[in-house]
Amino acid sequence: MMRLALVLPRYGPKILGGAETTARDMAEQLVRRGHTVTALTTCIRDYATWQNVDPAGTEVVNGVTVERFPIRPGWRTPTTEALSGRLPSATTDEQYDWVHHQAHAPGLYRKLIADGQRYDLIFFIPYLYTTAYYGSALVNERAVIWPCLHNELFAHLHPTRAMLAAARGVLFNSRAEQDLAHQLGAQNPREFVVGVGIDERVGDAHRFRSAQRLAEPYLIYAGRLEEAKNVHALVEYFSAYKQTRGGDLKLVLTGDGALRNAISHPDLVFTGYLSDQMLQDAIAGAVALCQPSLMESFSIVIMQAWILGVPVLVHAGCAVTTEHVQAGQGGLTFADATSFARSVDALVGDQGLRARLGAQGGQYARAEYSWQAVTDRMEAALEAWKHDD
Amino acid sequence: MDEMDPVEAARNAAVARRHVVESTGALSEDPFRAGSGAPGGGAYSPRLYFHLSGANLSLSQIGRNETTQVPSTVPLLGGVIDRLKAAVHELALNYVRRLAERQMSMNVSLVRVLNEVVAQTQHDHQGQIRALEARVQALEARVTELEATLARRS
Repeated sequence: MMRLALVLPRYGPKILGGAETTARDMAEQLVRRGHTVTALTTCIRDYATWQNVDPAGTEVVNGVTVERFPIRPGWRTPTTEALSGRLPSATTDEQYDWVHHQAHAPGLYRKLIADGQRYDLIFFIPYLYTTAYYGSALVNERAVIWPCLHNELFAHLHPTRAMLAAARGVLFNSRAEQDLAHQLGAQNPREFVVGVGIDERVGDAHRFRSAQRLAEPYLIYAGRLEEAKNVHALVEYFSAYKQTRGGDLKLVLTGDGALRNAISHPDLVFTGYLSDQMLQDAIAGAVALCQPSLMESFSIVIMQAWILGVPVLVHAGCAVTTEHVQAGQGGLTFADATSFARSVDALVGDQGLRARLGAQGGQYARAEYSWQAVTDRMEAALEAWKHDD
Repeated sequence: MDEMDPVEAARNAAVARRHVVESTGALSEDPFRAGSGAPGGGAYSPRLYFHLSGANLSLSQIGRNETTQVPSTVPLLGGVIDRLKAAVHELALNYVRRLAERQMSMNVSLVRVLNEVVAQTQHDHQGQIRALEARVQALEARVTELEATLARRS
């Protein structure tokens, strides 16, 4: 059994976010298998403000020891803004300066300096914060980067690529994410693709329909309502679809975000954030789950839909979600308004196709991403990282 | 002895890692970024530069994602079906490529135009600021001179 640590900016049951949920779920699974897991994190809850909210100190959450360290205040200066502005064409030196002028948790670094040797391996998730950039440099020989990499500007920075290439190991959520790292010129000799575990769930579509007073068929999007998730494109394609086809099809948008007040259409249904069970109920009743995001390192929600027997519609521009759809045969892709309309037509008009795609996706999700399968792969990777030279 | 600031200690560790990576050649050049012509600067919001850089990066990846065909699971006839699907796929790709090439050519031009517009307006913008700063300085000097003259007269 191993002594493991996770280093990440936010941790806790109230923290939403793909990387955070993935890390928390895996930590709890590893505890169940007898490993000792400590989460070393900061006191923030929100990446927009980086304000210390949770108290510093130690608590135990579902068997995982959580140690929180405050962010040093006053870090956002005109230099930070100027370096951010120059980032797209920054020299390598300026890129390292940019990292240095971000938010830091000195107590967390002190902890890694003092106690880093006490852990067999230390995971840094996700790549894009000083917790990973600086934290992993302090314990490089036992650092495993769990990057949750997207094809975005920050992934191309020298500090990111150096961290991936030099760490003890790298843990990817999908093959497409690993391919991206290689395309960036960052190849690590000890890489593993483990994936994200999915819980077996059931959903009650009737309960969601009653709660929302919704009788019409609907597509669903589940996630943050932000430009970064390409939700505006989904709404645009859906609006074009409704203009040409009419009908009573709705688009249910769960979650919240900056785009909430910027998008409107009579056939959009905004639910805000739903409880976990109500979200399963909502997905269970959908014609299909739409995942328009171009920047995913795994997409848990696709697997959730498949476990519930619901097909998915993903953007063809995202290598990760397209890889899932091709491997699982559980949905269709779209790249523009025309292909979106074609895919929606196919699904709306053919219940047999929906059932077949949903079932195929479910089979794939259960075979590849059950907690049993994922934790087995993780334990094999842990052994290799610890013992291989 | 005073403890070193942990942030500085971490920075030193990151710099050391950078030197190791550079000296051992563990990192090859980022092929996307190498060809990116996105202008930088600080005249506009960071979001503008971020999205412009994203457009340039996307451009450099056009054509990288070839779709893969999923093998048929039909017993016996699976091979024939796969060959037929591959032929139809290739035919469709042939037509799609022609359209895509025209679209790509336009995208390349549009991103280059955007780069030029941002670089040029940024340059003009900075030139105007410098001219205004010079004008303000001249006016301040003139005011100081007039104040001195008034003081002498009174």
